Amino acid sequence: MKMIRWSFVSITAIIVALIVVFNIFFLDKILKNIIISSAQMVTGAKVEIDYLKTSLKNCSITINGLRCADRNDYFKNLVDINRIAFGVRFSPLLRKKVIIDEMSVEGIKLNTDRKTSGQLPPKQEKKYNKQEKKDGKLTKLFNSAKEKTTAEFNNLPSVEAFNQIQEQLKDFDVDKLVEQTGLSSVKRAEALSTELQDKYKKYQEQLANNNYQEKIDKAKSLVDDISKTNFNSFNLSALSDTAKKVSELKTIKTEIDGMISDLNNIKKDVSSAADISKELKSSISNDVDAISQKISLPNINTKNISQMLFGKKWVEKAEKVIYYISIVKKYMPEKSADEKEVNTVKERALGRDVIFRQILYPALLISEISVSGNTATGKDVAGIDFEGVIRNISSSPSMVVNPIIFDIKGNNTTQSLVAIGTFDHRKYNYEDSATVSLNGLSGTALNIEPNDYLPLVDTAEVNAVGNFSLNRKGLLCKADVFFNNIKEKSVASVSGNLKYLAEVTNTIKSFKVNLEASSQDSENLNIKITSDIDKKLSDAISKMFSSKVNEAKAKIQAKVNEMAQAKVKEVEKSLQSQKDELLKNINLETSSLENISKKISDSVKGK
Amino acid sequence: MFLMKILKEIIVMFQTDVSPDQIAWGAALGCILGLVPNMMMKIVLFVVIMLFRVNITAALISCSLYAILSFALDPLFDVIGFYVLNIDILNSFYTWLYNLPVVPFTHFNNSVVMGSLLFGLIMFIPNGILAKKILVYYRTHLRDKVSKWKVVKILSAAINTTKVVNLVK
Repeated sequence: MKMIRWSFVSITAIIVALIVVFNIFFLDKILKNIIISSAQMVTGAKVEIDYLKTSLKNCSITINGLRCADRNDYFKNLVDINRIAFGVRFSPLLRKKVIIDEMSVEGIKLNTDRKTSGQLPPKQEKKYNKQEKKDGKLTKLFNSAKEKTTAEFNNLPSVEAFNQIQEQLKDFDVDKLVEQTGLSSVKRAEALSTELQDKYKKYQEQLANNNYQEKIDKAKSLVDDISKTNFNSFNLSALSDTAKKVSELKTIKTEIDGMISDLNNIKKDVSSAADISKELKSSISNDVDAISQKISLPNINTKNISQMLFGKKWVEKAEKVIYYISIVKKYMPEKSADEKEVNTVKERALGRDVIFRQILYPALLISEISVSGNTATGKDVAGIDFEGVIRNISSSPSMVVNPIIFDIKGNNTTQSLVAIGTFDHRKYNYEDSATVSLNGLSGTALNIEPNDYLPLVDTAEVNAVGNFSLNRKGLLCKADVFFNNIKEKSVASVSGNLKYLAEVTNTIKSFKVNLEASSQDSENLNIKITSDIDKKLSDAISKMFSSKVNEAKAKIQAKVNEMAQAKVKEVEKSLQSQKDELLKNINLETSSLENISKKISDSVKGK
Repeated sequence: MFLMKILKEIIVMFQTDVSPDQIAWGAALGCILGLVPNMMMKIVLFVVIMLFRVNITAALISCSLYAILSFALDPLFDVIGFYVLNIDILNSFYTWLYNLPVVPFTHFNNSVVMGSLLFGLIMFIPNGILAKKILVYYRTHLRDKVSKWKVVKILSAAINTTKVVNLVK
């Protein structure tokens, strides 16, 4: 008997043949569309593939010309890859597992220009936005911080501050300034003058009121009387009278001596009247300080210049890093805390399932990707040729022995690039870290917009080191950028206040910027930017204007001195006549008193 | 119509000279098909039935009968299957099978599936021999008597009429 039912075999063969033919003609197209739509869902922008070829023989796929547009700039490609080739293991495919042992990604270029917009059609974009809303708290956290910081970073200090200084020095008029201020030293001189005038007046009055002449006359009369007394007459009453007069004369002498002493004191006081110039010294110094303050440098907030200049750029860069990390987290989830071991026997409604040790595959596993490319963003820019490996990419990292690692290195004659990182999502407490180091880069590579407050950063040689780490406790994103060999701006081409700014920035030949974004509680993202450019700018501004300010201060000092001395002379002149007259009167009175005192002494002597 | 078609097929099988071997092995394969509860396994067995020149009607009748019988035999299959699946010496073989691409879909690691499959396979040759003997005995001793039954006559007439109509068409 014929064993085989050939009619069934032939029908089956026809069906299989149809499937094979379908795959040969349509599989590539279908696969291409699947890859494009999946990638568009991830990137949120257009993805293009020039050529895709599958080979059923060894389950391999080759993709040529893959371009993913940048959702932040639709006329730029996020990544432009020349060729991707990989083979998929057949047996895991039947369990819906994609296992790739080796993948090759060649000709990677980042941020290349696009001729057409990379924006998705509205319908697809709507779908993408819907998907984006499901993003993790990492993205939400960053977006809130971005809004806050962008507003802060947009307030650049006004260039007008420099203009203000210049105008102040240009229209500097000492007389006007002194007039506006009002000198305290002059006022003090006037006060001193009044004080002395009052004193002289008081002494004059004292001289007038003391009736020196009356005392002198009385003393003279007594001296005459005593001299007329005949001590040989033995007239006792006359002798007794004379004795009384001698006694009275002695009393008057004591009074006259007191008067002489008082007059000497007054003379001494008047003669040694205060040195007005000396008295005014501190007032003059105060005047100089007060006026100089009006032409001092305005308070320019250079402390936050670096934050304002680099803040926006840093936020953009950090946003990109965090966006990629959020994609990694989304498609490579960490092990959940309550993951249980597999049971060996499982009760079913019908019988029992005996579970054998299974070689478990994640839904996607790429054991090794060898990458190569160039950092150049345009045809006319020489970038760094780089190559390296990325290992253990998996949709279920907990099923893979080793963590995801990447090690990419590249250099050309002047520049070098090193990117090393580990994404360990195998445990509940995941740990992601990456370090990127770039040396000898051109300042243009950083795409920092030209700014009046910055030196020509495009001409700088840049060395940068960036560190990123993320774990369950929080994230830390750090970058240290060093700008060196900065060329000078052409001052001739700028005018007005910008000229001074250019002169200031031209003094800066190198500077460092340290950028840090951190979050410890997954609630607040702290963005910190520090740089020595703040101090350098501040020092340059001070240096530039301080000589001019000092010159102006010297002028002020001279003017104040001149005005104060003039006032002193005027005061001294007006007081001199009063002083001279007072001294003359004192001298007259003193000499009269001294004469009579001497006569009294002579008269009383021997009596 | 469907019921008529089935009855027709049964009458053809029993009353005509269709090869007893085809019917016997069809019934034996149908036995396994009826006992095994897993759909993937059923598909594989159905393909085998279709691939080999065995009687499909006999296989389907046998499948129906054993499917009913399997409800009562499931506890027995569970015990047999669980015992077999836990034989240490076979563990590496099962593990290998378990990690093959399509085989796990047959649920061979289920005690009832393994028990019923094993029972069906053991009973395959005895079933075939028994079915052949019964058929031969029937055709020798009972076919003529049964062909005289009114019901069979009516059905045979209906079958012949259908054949004539098909020929005219």
